[in-house]
Amino acid sequence: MKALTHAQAQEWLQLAADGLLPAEQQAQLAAHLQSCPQCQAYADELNSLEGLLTHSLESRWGNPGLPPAASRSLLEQLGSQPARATSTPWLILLALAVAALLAWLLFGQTPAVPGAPTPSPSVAASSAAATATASRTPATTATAPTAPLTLFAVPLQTANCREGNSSQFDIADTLYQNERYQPIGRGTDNLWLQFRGPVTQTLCWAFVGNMTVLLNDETVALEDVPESVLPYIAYPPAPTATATLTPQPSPTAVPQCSDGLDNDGDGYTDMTDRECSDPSDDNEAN
Amino acid sequence: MDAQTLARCKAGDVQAIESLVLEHKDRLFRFCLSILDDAADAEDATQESFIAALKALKNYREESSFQTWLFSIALNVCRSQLRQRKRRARLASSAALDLARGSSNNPEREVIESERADALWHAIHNLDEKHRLPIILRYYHELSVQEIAEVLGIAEGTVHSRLSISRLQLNGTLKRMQSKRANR
Repeated sequence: MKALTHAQAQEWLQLAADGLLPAEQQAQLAAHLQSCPQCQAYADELNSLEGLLTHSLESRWGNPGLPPAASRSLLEQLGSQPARATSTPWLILLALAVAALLAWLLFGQTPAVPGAPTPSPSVAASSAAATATASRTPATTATAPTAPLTLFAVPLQTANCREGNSSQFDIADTLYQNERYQPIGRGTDNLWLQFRGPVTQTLCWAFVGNMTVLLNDETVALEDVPESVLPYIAYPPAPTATATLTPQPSPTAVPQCSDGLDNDGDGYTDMTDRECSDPSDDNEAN
Repeated sequence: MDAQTLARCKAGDVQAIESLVLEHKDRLFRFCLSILDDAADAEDATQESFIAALKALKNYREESSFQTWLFSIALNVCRSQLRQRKRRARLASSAALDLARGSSNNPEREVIESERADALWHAIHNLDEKHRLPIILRYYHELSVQEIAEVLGIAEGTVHSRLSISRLQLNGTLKRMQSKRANR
């Protein structure tokens, strides 16, 4: 077995601290520590820091529970909130009934009534639109009496939704991997999509490079999505500079994690570099 | 939380929702407290997070534990509160944080330990969010690297890398503090 270097041993100690060091390497590390006072001192220091971290945070916040008054208030609030799941079928049925009535009034046609289990309106609409618009260009759909085009964005990995179009803006919400989200606008450069945050309900922007854009369930390039379906929206102004001693890069600059360069020289570029949390992350080094 | 209770919660069963709240409310409150560092704000964030979680429950796919899913929702709620706080220019004043600490009649050694814990807290508080949150989740909430990755929506390797960098930085702070004391 090859002897460990100090650097390797210290890296393994960091992995061990996070519970990530395999058992076999733990044994090798233990053997190294017995014969290496320098690494043993590093291990003691790390151990002491970890103990102090726990102590420091526990003495800061203790181990409190939600105060009883707040618990009662919370239970009352939740008790009075009907779960969305129970109300949604009625809303869907109501929407379908209204749509059927409108279609009958406008075109004198009886639309197909979906049987149980009821498909979601967007799926039904998208299938209808896919058939109806097969031979049309997007420009002609504006005047045609067809079901609207449905557009979704599906993150390929969990993505931050920020207040603007760079990592300099605060994170407003999170878009989860493989979930479908309906964008409400896009930036003028087709690089960022605007959403209403699913949790915070605030307007936020997510980088399109990490998403699949689906138009009526077909993958499309954002550039090909008609403006009538997804309008262009001006990006918000750059966040105002706060007092800082270090110069900040321009918010219009391409973030390090999507600039196509190996910024930290570790042999990995952009999202292949494990230090990149998302394409809007502006630091490839950590 | 078992699948049956979850299904009942999704169907709007008030009793099931109540048992879910009772099971998770204290941990969620501590989570919000550790992000916001203010008990009143943490109470609000806890309520808001449960309401948001209930609305989003249909999207929960049991790929991660319910607790980490709940924490990831609460994190967004807390971030939103922090932004509002920033906008109102109510800075999280370090001075105010100091007032929250009581004075101590401990022997000298304990005072030194307490000083070190205080110094470390301030050093943690001064880390940027992407390094501070993994430290808090690991050492206060005792989450595994995998759980932290799920809450923050980042890769496990990134969590480990951020924890390592933060530990090195925090250890450096402690060492500088010790050498300052030695030079007094």
